[in-house]
Amino acid sequence: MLTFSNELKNSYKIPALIFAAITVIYLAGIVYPSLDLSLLTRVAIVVAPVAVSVSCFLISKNYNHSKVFGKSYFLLGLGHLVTFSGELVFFHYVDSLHFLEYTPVGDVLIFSGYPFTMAHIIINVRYFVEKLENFQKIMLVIIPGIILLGYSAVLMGSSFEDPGDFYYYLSFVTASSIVLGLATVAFTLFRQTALFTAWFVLLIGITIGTIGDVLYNYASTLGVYSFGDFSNVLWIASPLIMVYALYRHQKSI
Amino acid sequence: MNALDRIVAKGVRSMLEEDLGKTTYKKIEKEVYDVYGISVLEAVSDFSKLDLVLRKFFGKHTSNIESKIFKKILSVEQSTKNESIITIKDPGVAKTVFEAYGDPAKKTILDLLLYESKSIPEAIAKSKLPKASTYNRIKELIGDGLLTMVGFTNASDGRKVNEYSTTFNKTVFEIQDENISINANVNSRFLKDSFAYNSIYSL
Repeated sequence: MLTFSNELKNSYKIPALIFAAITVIYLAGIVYPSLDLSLLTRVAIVVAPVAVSVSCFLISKNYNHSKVFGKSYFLLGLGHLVTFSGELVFFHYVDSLHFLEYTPVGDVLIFSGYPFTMAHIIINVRYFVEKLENFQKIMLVIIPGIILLGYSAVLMGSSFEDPGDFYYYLSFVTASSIVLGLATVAFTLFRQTALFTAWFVLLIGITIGTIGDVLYNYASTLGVYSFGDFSNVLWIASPLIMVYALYRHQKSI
Repeated sequence: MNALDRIVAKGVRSMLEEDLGKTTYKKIEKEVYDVYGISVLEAVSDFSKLDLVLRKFFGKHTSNIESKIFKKILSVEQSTKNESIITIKDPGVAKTVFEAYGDPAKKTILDLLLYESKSIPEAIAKSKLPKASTYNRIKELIGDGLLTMVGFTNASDGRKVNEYSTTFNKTVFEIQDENISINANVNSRFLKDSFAYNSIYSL
């Protein structure tokens, strides 16, 4: 049987590889601007959530749509399907309608994806534990709290045109950091179970996604976001790592 | 092996499938077979075995999962020193009990052992039913948990043989549409070493 540290060593390699591969492509785009990776970036950002969605639906079916795994993975898949449609609308606004400010419909759809991810985590947590321990309750508050305070503090030192932008993008950072808090708590719960690797990899994916969200919303608040932004690397890597987490989940149980 | 645990065994199997899915159930089933060489149904009857396998998968959260599963199958309505009233909520489990009481031969055996415990040969002799089929039915009733071993007695040839009594002292079936639930009076001492009962009330 694998020990805790062995499992840890074995489970971060593929996420690291995925992240490294996408970073290399990103850096290649910077070093060789003639490569023009903007189309590839757009396609990858749109397709990556679909990959999660399809994997989730397949896993949900594999678990016979059971009350815990079947239902929770179906919801996670639905959330990423909503995110996918949001990204699609976003690029339609930006590329076809040349709409450079808010893309309300797209943003609402992207925002709607977060509650589904939260539901996925909550269903799993609630089935396995009756009551959270105190340190887990604290983590649920501390993690989003630190992210939001840090994000706000950095932005307060910067100058931006419309204060409304700050609150608009803050809502996305809030939702994303709550997801990260929940995922961290779930990871601590599944530490000594067969689901350890799956939740560890999922946590890596969600952490990368949250960092991506923070960077994107920071850049958007300041009005400096572009398709060359590093947040795109994180946004593409995060769902792909989540797909690997799903694979590990159905392999382990 | 506890009689009440035998009764709820079928329900545990279906609950595991319902909550975690067939794939997970198959993995648990395989692990039970690899470790103990028995089926999940047998492992549920001797619950410590299934518990150990579940702990391999779910660690310390196993107790919570077990408690949730058992709570869906049965509840204890009233409990006194001598007798407890339980409700079997799981339709599958209730149906198995209902079918046993619906079988005339099994009903005769259950009635015979209701107030007085007897050994298998004694029960067969008193039932006045065909020996071979009665023996098989008694075995089925023991397997389903409806008969409980309560002690020993000496057979006519001096051998020490087990004595059995019914697990339920009184059984009331409630049929609503296609669902059956059961209210049953159980001797409280049968509950004491029941894994199902203890996992509901230990948390």
